[in-house]
Amino acid sequence: MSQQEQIIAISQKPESGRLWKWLTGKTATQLGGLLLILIVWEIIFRARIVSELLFPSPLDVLAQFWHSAGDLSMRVGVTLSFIVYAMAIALFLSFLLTFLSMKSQIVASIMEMILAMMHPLPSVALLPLLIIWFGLGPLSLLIVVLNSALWPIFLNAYTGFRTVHQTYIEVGKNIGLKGLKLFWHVILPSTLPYLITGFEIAWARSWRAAIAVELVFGAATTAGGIGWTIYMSYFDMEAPLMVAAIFTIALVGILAEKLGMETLENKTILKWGMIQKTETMGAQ
Amino acid sequence: MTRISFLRKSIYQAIFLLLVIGAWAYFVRHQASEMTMPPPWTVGKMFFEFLISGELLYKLYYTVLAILVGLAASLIIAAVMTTAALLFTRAAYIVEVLTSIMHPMPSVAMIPLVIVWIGIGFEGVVALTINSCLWPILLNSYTGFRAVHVTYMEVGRNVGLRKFKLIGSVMIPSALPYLLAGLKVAWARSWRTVVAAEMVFGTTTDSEGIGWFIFEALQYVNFSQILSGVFVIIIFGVVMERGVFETIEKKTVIKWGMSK
Amino acid sequence: MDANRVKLKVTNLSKRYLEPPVQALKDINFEVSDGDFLCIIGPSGCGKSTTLRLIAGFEEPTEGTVLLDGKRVREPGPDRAMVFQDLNQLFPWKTTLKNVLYPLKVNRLYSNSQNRMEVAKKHLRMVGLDENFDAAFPHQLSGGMKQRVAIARALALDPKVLLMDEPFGSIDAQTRTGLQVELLKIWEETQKTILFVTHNIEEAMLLGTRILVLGTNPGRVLQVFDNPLPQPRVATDPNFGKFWETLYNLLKQ
Repeated sequence: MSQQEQIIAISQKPESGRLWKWLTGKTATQLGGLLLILIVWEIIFRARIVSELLFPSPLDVLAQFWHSAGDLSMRVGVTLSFIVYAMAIALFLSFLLTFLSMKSQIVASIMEMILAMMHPLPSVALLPLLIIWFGLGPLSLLIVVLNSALWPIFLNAYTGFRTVHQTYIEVGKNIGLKGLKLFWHVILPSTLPYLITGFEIAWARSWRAAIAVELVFGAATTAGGIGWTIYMSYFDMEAPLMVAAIFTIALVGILAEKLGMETLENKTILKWGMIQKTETMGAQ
Repeated sequence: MTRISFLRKSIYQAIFLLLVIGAWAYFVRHQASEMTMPPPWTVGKMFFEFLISGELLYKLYYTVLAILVGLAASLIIAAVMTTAALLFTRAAYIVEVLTSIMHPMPSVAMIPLVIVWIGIGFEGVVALTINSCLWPILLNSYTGFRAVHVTYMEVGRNVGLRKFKLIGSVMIPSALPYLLAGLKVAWARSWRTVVAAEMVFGTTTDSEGIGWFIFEALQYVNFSQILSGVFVIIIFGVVMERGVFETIEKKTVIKWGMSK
Repeated sequence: MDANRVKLKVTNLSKRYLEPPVQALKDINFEVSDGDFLCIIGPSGCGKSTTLRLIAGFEEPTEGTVLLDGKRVREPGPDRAMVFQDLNQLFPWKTTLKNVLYPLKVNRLYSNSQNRMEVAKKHLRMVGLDENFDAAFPHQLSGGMKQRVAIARALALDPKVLLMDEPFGSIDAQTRTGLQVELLKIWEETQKTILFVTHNIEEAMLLGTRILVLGTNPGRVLQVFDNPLPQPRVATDPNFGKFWETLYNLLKQ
């Protein structure tokens, strides 16, 4: 190869190389993979292997998604409002219970027992009891969601406050902090890795519990959330709406985890080096 | 705070439980109707009868069996996908995008879809279990195997380990904290999903499993049956978390100092 | 400044723990004059850290008193700013600059925020950290740098005495030598009164104008020395070995 040819070869290579690189690259592969799934889905739909009533075309789902975007986001809002209330109450109760448990060994012993029993319990199993006592209304739903949020937050708050790095507290006292200021500026930030973990698990659990409750007793709940939408579309055999609602739920989950929790972590404990950058082990 | 002895702790807890039962009995006598809240001894007697007759244990067995089958299937699928992802870059890309979509997805939302596609029987529960278990297991095994400390691998090769021996004695133990975390999440998620699913299935027709057991009781307001079911769910949850997972962790990753 | 003025007076200080029952310190008596650099050395478990923590006010003495400028010490406070051995003593959620600035803000020192900013920066430069590190978070710093920031934080508070609890104990030997030289320079510049706990004989000999030796079981004062080595103190000094041996033999008992 002459020198000139070599130069041409070198100068040409990046052009085709870049395209090839993109095609074999991450984004293209992932988009291609997802597209392939959609195509297979459409083929199955066209082949009429399953009834249209049960198995919508991806295009129908997309159209439905477009058509009911407003309604779906309103439904999501209804369900999320329960979770926001539940999380706020859970946070307050967790701080109160943590405070009492750290003050009294009797409270601590009792709370440890309750925690051991309630933390693994699927909240939705409490629903029949709650319905007998409080009826089939928003209160029962709120209590189930609260039960999902409370125990992970309490467990992590309690562990976090018990294991605050002693030197930080001593430095705080040394520079003249006391009482509420010491709590707010030193103790609370140092428990943040635990509190965020607790929140992540609480979110994942209460989101699932809320949808489950709406599904189980969808027909009777007045305030219809996103789980209720799925129930109704199932009831009415509106397959496109059902799948669109499921996608909505997936989307909310991804947004909450990637945009919400991950951003929170990136801007706080990760930036401060209080946790290492590893992929999360997944919220329960 | 000084550490409190196990005995003292247990005494506090026992006294608390007795107080709760006492308050319950008092409340029933003076306030509630037998229907919405029978006294503790009635519930205790019913619980005992359900236990003796084997009904309660059978319902639990049905649910747990479905979870185990789904879990086994998930483990196989996850093993195949992890291997593919570790060997081929493009497979890794696909695994990453699939887990990032499916892992945050609540399996309970899939219940109606499973009902219309697969049906409400055992297969339906197994399908939901697979969806609950697969993604956390896949995510953690993929992350775990990729995070295997390079030095351990080099030491393994250096002392002459090859292929399966390298996988068995170096890679799996190194990734064990992740694998166990994945299993724990998988268990917690599928247990919740299946209990909910059995209730939803019950809205359509008679079903099986522990979730159905308490849901069925709601139809004719059998408080004792509901509470018996909830007790079993609580006890089984404690056994799994404290008994099974904690024991495994204590004997492996905690003993080895890989996690606290 | 009157060099002989007593800054800190420790009288009959004893500390007994109940669980497990240990007499950690018994009848500790010593005085520190203004501008002194007192090193406290002793074998592990002799209560040298406990002495410092009693002075800092983290723990209550069982008997005896600590007087700072004639006033009795009862609780922790910024007039006895402390540098710990722990490399995790900077608040991880604050930048380097804010770690130094924050205690000044808490105590409303130097009248306004602009002055506080200047003081904080001045002290960071004094310990050898340029402005590139102001916005860094503690986890991005090396161990030696973290301890420098901790020293800057303590000094910026303008404490009456600076307490240092084995501040270089977790630092590698080479970095430690550099830090020791700089600490001496800072001490000469600022004329601070410093109490420095260490288990390292050489470190005490290089740094201290006076050296207090503690013994174990129970923790008690064995002897107080005026450092005989002339400034600048170097290990090649002919008297170094002799003094080292004196201290070593005392500690060995």
